[in-house]
Amino acid sequence: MKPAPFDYESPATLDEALALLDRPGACPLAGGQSLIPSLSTRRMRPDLLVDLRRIPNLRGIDADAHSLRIGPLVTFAEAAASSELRSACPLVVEAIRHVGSPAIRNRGTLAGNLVWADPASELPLVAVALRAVLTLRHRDGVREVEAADFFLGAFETAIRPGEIVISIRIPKGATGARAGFAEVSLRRNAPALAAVAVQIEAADGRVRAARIAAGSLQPTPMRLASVEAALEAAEPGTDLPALGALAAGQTIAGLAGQSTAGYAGTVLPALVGRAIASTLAAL
Amino acid sequence: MSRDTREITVTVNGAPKRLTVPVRLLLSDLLRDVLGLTGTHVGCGQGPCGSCTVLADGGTVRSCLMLAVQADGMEIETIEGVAAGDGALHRIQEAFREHHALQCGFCTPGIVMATVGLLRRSPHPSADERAELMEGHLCRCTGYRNIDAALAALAGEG
Repeated sequence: MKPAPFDYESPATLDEALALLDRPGACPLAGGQSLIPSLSTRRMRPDLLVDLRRIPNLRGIDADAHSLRIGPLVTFAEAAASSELRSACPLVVEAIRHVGSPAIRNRGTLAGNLVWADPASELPLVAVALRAVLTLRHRDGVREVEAADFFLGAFETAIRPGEIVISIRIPKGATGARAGFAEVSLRRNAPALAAVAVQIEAADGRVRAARIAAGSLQPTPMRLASVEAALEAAEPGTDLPALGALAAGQTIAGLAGQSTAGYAGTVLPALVGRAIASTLAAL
Repeated sequence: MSRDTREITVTVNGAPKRLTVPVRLLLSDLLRDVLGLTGTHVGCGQGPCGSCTVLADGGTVRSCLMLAVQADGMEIETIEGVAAGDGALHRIQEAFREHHALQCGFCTPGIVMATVGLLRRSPHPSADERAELMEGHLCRCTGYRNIDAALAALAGEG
């Protein structure tokens, strides 16, 4: 058998799951599309797998006036099919097109993807761009962590032993928000070598809100605040892709000493320009 | 508390089965080694290749990326369930044969199962839908063109 031995529980309640996850060596299982291959190669050897699949209320996407809440067992396929997500957070749906393949998207979850924190994955930069907030539950309590503070390094997050994500909250974009996603990868569904995510709300020829982040270029997602600010300050009629590319080039020039700075300096402005152009085409 | 095995109920190609399985058994190994359904091929064992694709409750999944215990209560369909009982090829298999959409055949069961799933959702898949299907499957023989020719014929464009 490929995976090393482990104990397995599939508790029926969240409280039971949290009690089990408090044990040393316990690991939660949601969609398993990153975890199971790591078990098969024995890169990971947890003592106990706590399968969340029987726990009620961890599925579904709920909306209130200001935000959408994505349950931890919501799969990529379910999210991509959500009309609420498509209209209020189109960037999520746009980015999912680049995640894995259809069969992976049928099982993989957004929450699991964020917790895995692969620097080449598409969802972490989307979460940072859209100012997502993760709600983390431990048997002793609950806390919220902003996506920008969640990712600490490659495959490393602020989640503590015994904690699980119980919701991903994403602020709603204005009606008519549009998104674009551009990446360099060996194939469309292969891990990104560089990726840029853009969501724009525009009115009267002006950018009211820009949400932009880059991924794969460093261990954690990079929010491109200066590019966002440049777009939001632009006069109507400005060539926004060119403006964004310029601002991105200045940002990357400020990151001297990064091992990827040479490549990033070339690819980031190009991808920012492309992602903005595809966003505008959708407006 | 240590439990090495679990009892699961799973329907495979229409036949309900009650099985006791090791918790670390992969679904692909359940199908191949326990049930003898060796038509499901395991290529990479890591997700990218798509050879082990089966249908679980009607949706495509990688059987190497699921534990058998996760299939508890599910309906699994494999390549063995595609052709009719009398051995006549399914129209998908017929189209693959007609268009020379396979050479060595290693990837074929996974692609056929993905096609079964796609045609149920979308009886006349567009070129984009067909390309999306192919994103999930590596074929080292055909260069994909003949596979797409078979898919296009099935979509009614042939």
